[in-house]
Amino acid sequence: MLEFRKLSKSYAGTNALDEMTFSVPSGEVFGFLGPNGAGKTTAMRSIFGLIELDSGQVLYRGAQIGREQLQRFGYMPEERGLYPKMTVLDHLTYLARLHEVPARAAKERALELVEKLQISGGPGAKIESLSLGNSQRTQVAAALIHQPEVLILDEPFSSLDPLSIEIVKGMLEDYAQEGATVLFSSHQLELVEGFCKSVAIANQGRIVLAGAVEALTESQTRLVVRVREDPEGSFLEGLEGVSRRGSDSNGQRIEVQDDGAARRALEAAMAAGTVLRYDHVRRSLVEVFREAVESTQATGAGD
Amino acid sequence: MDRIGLIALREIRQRTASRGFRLATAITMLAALAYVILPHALASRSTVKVVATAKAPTELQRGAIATAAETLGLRVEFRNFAGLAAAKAAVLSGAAIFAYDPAKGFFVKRVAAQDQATLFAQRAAQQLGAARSLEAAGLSASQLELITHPKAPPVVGLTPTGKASSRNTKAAAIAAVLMYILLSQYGAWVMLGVVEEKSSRVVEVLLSTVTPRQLLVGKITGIGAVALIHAAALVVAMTAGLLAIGSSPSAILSGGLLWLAPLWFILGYAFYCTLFAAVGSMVSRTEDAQAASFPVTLPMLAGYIVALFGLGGTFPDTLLKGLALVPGLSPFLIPAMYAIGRVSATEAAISALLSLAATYFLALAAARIYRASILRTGSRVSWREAASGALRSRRLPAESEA
Repeated sequence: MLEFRKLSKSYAGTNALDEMTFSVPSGEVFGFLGPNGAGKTTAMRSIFGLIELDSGQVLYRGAQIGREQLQRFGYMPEERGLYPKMTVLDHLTYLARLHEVPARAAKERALELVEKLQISGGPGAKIESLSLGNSQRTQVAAALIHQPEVLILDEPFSSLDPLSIEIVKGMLEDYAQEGATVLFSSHQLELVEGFCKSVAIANQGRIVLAGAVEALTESQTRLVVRVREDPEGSFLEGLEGVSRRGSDSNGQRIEVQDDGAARRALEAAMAAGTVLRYDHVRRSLVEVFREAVESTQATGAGD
Repeated sequence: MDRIGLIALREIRQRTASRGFRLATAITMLAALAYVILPHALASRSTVKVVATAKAPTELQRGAIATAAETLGLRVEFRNFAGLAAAKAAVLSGAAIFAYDPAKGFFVKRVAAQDQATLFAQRAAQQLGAARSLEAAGLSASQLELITHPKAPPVVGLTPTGKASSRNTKAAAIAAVLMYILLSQYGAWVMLGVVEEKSSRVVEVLLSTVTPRQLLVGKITGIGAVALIHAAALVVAMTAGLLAIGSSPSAILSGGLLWLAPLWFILGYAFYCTLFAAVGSMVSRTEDAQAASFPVTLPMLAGYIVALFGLGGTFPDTLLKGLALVPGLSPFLIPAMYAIGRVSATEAAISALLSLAATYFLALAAARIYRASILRTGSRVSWREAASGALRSRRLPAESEA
């Protein structure tokens, strides 16, 4: 488990991290969410000692992270960093060697990743000749080259096409299933929702919401109802404690204030005709995110 | 191989594989070769004069004309023509300085007071006349030789001048020029290498696995090794040039330059490279690097200029010796001064120790600046900001076990 314990960091009086605390369990893909300036990148950089924290610490398996542990960490920073004049193979092999992977194993692993990630141009392609998407895939390969136990990825899916996203997602899922700790930040909430088991939402340097995606999106007040004879849902008009939230192919989406309102909605539907559907529905992660962020006061904090 | 070794090896591979390095090395090797060969070739062309003879000259005639040539700093080459008319034609066409016919005398293109050919021919005629008179007086060949080439008593100076000679002065100047070229070029490489890693953001990936100190030392070692390869290539080119003109390479590298110049190059590189790296860490764009490096290049330029003027005797000895002890200036001054005997081995050793001590403290400060500035992006970090960042910066947690 990776623990962020009361991390604080300020730049010129602005709190980038304000006692940020959360834990990332091993064996699952964990999403780190938050608007720009929430402190995600600062928190990730603090793992590797790339910034000096004012206070707080990051622990791995209950202990402070030292140079030895960091050799088992993989990092993909938000700003892409590659040597433009090197070939993909040389670049990946070099990074693997810096992580103490023997030369032969480093080369084999690099070739394997180039193939898995379908980096066009192959291992001999010069990095400066790669497209943005292929550079991104190379960057992902660089983070995975030494088969790390902990993987920290800052916006790994930005500028990837849908096919690349699927490939990278598959690799990260495999990694997590093998027991690795995978933490990644993203603004692509729809992608996170179907991909992560748990998330932490940061705002203004603090964690404002964290937990399993399933639990966070669960809702007792969101319902979908569909009546064969009244697909437009006119039977819902004027019902006390019932608000309409639009419709989709499943039927009319409503939000009820309490159990009484839910019962009134069901009775109205039954009176209107044949009830084809009456069920609880989940909130989207976008809604959860918006509510969590809006509930915190807006005072400047920075990534 | 450890991480520093891996980083250094990557630098060596990348730099030596670049077209820029190969081109720069080839050009500087050619320049070094030309520096050795051209003056010799030009000097040879200007001092060797052809004397057109209408008939093969006797030993006496040859000796007299050669002696006259020596007095004018010339060397002579005799070329025999089929008769006087042909010899005269050679003079008129410029192929010979004058024509000589034992029966009819010396023929120059035009007799003029300040003309080298006229002067040479007149001296040759006088020399020949004197030799003939002595021969007529019945002197033997050995007696004649003694008169024309007398053994002169030695002239001894009362104050030591060391091993200075024009050849050593030339070698000292070469050392100063090469030192400046190599330190400027490879100092700039260190700086630009740091800027490239910073601007391409690869430094963030690297620093997640290596410490700033390892990255800095690896880079400096790698580029330093490339610089030594380049320096060795230049020495090879110069040696080849010296051998080609029939000069001994050891002659030009006398005065201790053979071992002193490489040693001081290493000392100079060690002194300046961390400073260049610190400058590189303070800027995010290559365009800003040159202006930011001005405070570092200034002492290099000063050392170079003082070395060149010092060789010419512009500075008093005491001042020059004082300046040679200043770290940063000493890499340019000591090898040059030692070559011409203006600094003793003890003084050179003291200067080297001072340079090493200064390098140690500078490297500590520069490494702190590097660590504090390397991950800062955006506008250029000023020296004041860098210094305060270095003072504030404490060892990063991840470095503690490095």
